[in-house]
Amino acid sequence: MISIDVNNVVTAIIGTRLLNIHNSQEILRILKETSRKYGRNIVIDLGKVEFLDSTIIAMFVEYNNFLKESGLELTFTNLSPFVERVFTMLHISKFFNIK
Amino acid sequence: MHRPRPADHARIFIILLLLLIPGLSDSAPVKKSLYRPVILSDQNERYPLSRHLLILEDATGAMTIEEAASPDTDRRYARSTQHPPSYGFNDLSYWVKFRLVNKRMEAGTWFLELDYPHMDLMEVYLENAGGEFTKKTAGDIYPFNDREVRYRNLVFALLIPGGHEQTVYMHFSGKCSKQFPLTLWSEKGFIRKVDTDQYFLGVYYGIILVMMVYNLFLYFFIRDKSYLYYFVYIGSYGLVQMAYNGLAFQYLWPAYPQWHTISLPFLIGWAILWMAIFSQSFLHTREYTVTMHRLMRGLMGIGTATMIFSLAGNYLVAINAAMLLMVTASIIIMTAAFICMVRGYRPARFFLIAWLVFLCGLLLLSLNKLHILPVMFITEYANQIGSALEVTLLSVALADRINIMEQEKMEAQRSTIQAQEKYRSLVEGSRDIIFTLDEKWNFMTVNSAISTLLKISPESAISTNFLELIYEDPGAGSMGKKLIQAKLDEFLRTREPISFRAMFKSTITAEPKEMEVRLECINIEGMNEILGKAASLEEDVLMKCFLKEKQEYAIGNYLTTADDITQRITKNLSKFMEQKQITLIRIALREIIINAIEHGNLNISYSEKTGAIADDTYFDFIAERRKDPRYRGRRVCIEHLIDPARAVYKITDEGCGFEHKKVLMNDSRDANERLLGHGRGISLAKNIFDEVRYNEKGNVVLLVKKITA
Repeated sequence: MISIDVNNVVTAIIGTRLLNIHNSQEILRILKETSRKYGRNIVIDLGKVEFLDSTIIAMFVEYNNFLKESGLELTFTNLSPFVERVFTMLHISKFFNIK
Repeated sequence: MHRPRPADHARIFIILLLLLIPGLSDSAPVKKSLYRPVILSDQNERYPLSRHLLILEDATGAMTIEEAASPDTDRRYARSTQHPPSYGFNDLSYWVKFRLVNKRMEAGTWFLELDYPHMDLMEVYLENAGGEFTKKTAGDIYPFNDREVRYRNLVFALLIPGGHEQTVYMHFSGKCSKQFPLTLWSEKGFIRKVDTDQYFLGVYYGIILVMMVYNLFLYFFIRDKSYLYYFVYIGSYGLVQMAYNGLAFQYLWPAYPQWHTISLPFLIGWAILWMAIFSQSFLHTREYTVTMHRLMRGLMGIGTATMIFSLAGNYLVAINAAMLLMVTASIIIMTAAFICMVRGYRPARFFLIAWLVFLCGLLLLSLNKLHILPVMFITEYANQIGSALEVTLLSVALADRINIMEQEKMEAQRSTIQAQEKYRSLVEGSRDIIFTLDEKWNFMTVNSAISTLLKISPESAISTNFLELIYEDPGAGSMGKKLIQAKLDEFLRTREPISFRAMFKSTITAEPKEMEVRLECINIEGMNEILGKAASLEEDVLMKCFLKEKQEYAIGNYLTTADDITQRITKNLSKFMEQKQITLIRIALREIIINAIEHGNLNISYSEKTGAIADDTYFDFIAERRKDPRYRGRRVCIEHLIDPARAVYKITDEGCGFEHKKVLMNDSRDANERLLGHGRGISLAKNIFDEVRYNEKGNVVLLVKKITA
């Protein structure tokens, strides 16, 4: 579901095509574990994600809050046109770092 | 005691036949003046005495030998009108005499045989040179070993001086059938007769025993109960024969004359009981003739009653009932066999032939005893020959029945294989994936279409779980793994056929494939299996004909239904817009419908939802709310209109509504700024639809999407 690439930064590559309430909690758990383990800023690669719903946005918001409490930053990368459109529609592009 | 002899029941069978043939009966009166002595010579070994006998009925039973032999009494003797003389079952006494002239010069021992082993008491008187009578006694009221000659029939050894002429007196008494089939044998003749008798009866009972053992073994190997019934029936029949001809008294219970006297009706009842059970089982009367099946049950009941009655009741009634039962049973069984044969049950042929052979034996014997047929080996032993052939033919009938069953089984197997081949070619030729699953969702069978559609070989799919093939993430318009799991659980509970769309893995690297799945429960040989079909989504060829639609739905509070309904109510949008845009509309509609279920009908607050998601108890939490009596009757009403200008969706829940104005005004930026974990579904809908409008209460939302050319 998620693969972790550790170089200068920790990159979590989401390997699933559609994100929704059925996998949101599992993804959040893995992301939090990764942050605790490496204590570094996190980049989430959404290159393979084609669809997501509001529950996933809520999950990213919660994860962002979690990172902020530890003084860490969250960045998204490789957004598909669809995901980018959802981010835009929900006005979250400017609340997260997007590369 | 009253006991039958072979001719008794045989005569019942053929009496009507004989009545139709004048002159056949040997019961014409004979004048006493024709009475003549038995002339003993070297030429003959066997002297049937029937036509030489003079008989006197001793009404008081108190007559002495001196009185019976006195000249005054001599005038009262008469010849019998029947040969051999027979007076039926009674408790009278009879004096019987015959004169003999020994033309041999030397003295010799002669054997007087009564060919009726069930006579209660028989006394033989011979006058000696001094004019006194010597008496010999035998009968079945005495232990067998008390007999002078230990033979199954009553036999007396008589020493007859050479050139001598004398009268032999016999006295018969007891409660039994009074019949006098007497024969005088020379010593050699009697030895030869006993030899033949023993030899033939040994062969006969050997056949019975072999058939018993053979059929018992067959039962243990084949486990067909007919063989077991037949084994018991032959055993019973053999015992009846042994009791009937005196061998049972000679060899099985020689010290128990009282049991010997009642054994015959008891054993006949027992044999009839098993004969009926065997015939029912063999002929399948329940299937072919219900009437005969019931009559056979009646036979069983009467057979059992006869057994009980013979032990505790009146012997005369018991033996008569047994005789009558034998005749009735034979008629019923042969009729049943005939009906079964006519109605197409092939094994009944041998069964019927076996019984006809048996009856032919009885007929021959009867004709012999009535002196219509001469004394020959085949007529003397016709009963045994007939029954031995019957036993053998019934075994053949059983074997034939098994043979036919085997043929039918092979035919059925051949048909099954052909059907299997036919269906296999149909299944294998299908372009859809056709499969069966066990109740744990493991593949049991699958056709080769799976390798074409999902790039998975059928061999590797076997033993794989169906859910393992589901793509981890439900795609647009498909269901997620957990939702599919929920759907499958519901399917197992209701056993109603279901259809759904699902994303399947093809290989680890290839793209997932969305397919329409249909499952239904089937029962094969008592095993519950799930028959499934997975087909590629077909392009709707009628879509180009679509103009507009207006529909209404009322759905329960299941999230899976929210997924399904969004599929349905957006399907025809493909006439007017691209799939990507439809996907966004589906996602937005899904958000709004789920809001209506969760926050409207089920009255779940944002904090409750957030907590349940965090605890990973979200689905359980919703399930509990669904059972709540306050909410379980609520429905979400969905109305939609699609025409070339717009798509309009009106979603109504039965909840208390919410402060929609604030949410609509602040949109998702407020949620983002306040880092809230909710409140974006409506915002998403606002961005996707051209118009999102709630009623005052907040439980009805109207969503409008304009369609541009």
